[in-house]
Amino acid sequence: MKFFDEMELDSPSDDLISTIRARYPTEREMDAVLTRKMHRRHLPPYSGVDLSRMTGHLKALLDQHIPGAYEVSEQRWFSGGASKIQMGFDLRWERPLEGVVTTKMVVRMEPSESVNTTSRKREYELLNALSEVVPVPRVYWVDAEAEYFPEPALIYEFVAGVTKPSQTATGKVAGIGTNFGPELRATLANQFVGYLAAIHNFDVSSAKFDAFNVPLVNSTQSALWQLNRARRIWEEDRGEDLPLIEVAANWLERNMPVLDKVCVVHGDYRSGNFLFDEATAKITAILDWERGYLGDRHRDLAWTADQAFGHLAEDGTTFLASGLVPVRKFFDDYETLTGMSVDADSLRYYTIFNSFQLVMSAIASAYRVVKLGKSHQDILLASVEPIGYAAANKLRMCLREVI
Amino acid sequence: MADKSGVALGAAIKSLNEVVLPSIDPGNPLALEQAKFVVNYLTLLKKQLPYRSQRKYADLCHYMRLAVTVLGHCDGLTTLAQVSALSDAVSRARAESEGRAFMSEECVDELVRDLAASISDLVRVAPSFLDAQRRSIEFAVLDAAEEWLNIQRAWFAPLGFDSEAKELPEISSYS
Repeated sequence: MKFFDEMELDSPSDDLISTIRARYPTEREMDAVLTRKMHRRHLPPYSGVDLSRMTGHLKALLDQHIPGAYEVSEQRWFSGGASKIQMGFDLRWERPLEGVVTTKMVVRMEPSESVNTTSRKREYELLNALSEVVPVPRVYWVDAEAEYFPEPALIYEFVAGVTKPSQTATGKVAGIGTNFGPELRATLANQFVGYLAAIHNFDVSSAKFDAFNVPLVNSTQSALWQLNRARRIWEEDRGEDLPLIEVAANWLERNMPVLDKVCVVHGDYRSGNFLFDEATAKITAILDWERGYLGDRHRDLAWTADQAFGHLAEDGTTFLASGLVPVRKFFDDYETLTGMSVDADSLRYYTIFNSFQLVMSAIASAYRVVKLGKSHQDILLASVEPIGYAAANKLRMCLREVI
Repeated sequence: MADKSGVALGAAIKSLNEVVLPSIDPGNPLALEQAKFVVNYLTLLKKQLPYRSQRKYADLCHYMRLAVTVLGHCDGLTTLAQVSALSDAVSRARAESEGRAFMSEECVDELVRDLAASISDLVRVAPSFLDAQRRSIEFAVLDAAEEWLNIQRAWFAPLGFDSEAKELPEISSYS
């Protein structure tokens, strides 16, 4: 009996897409972007878009949003990210209420298929909502339905800063495992924890979140949506069966935590996803909100403290969450700042869930995207497969203790 | 005819390092970044290629042992479709491998896919079993996964993305 058909996953039928959707219901907008992914999977590999073509798409959008004359210049590609294509540019334009200015901006666009299929609409809403709460890039326009760009895209203001110290050789892939050094670390850590507390304390009812479903408090709905999303991605992307994944899915399904408060969840809060000014050590922007959703804060807490994103301090024994703060201090400071407790069972659940999700991304999604040549970073994605096996090993060890 | 893939890979790496990389426009950081990833991956392949068959056979042995162990925990479930399917997958693997000095990589891959799929399918329905039986099956999967994951991690260790993999034995030591 064949469990899945490799060729059909490369070019899925409407029946297969519908079957997987029905088996793993998730949030409305996530369903939409994952379904779009599957319907477009049979299309040719990503062949790249040069700066000239990208500028053409950009101007098509700007023509609709800027009434007067404008000028685009200094177009350049950004490196360092695994899942999105980013082009920097200068826009000379008449900015409302300010007059003619030159603004440094970034276009952030999906490749044909990303290792993280996410919604630009949701990213746009989150950046708008949190703009007065934590430092985030100011977002200008969103092309949610790929009307102007070949894929959904977002345009936001470029923020100066670095993701890691310019002299470090650590943090090779997307800033993961960056070693900031003891001095810089101390200054960044307070800001880092403080901003996470502010994100989680944000009143979600005060903002426009049309692209999000709000899970029910005192239910397991939030956990179920996230589990279903991850399981759906496994079904749609994987190139092999792993019995370990089924053991994990079984445990996650029967141990879903009850949600006590709906928070904005960043989804990827760690080193590599914030910018800071090297001279002042001030955080200038929190980046990469694409995995954000409304749900359980423990998802963020477990992610930030995950072994995959930190390292041991100079004493050789203290593990630093995201290379910044000892884990116990991280949780203690967080509780003090938010007034919300860190529940051990929920933290354990999301620690296991996060490893489960990392396996999805690094082994399943990365495999399918690279096999079909769907991204601008195929060789980087091919190289991150070991991150998936390290995450699977952590998953195995955690499950051994709880089953 | 001796296989010279390793030699050719060395030539490709040398070409990239000495000719291509230095020629890339420093103003194109994406091209520079990707070229370095290409060199790293080709370097990995050059080092590990001699052990590729070993890794595939280790896969087959792992899934055969796990399948037999899992079936051993399926008392009273022999009529279940997933148990029958797993038994059939084991029988097929035995028929293909016993008494043969050589199996093609394609054959090995097919048998591995079949076994992995059948075991996964059974684990999926294990929550409907008696609790003790489900736990036995799940523990069997977890215990078997340790060495299998060590092999995968050892294979990719030279890439440097798994900081703890350097403590594992080299891939050449697994069989």
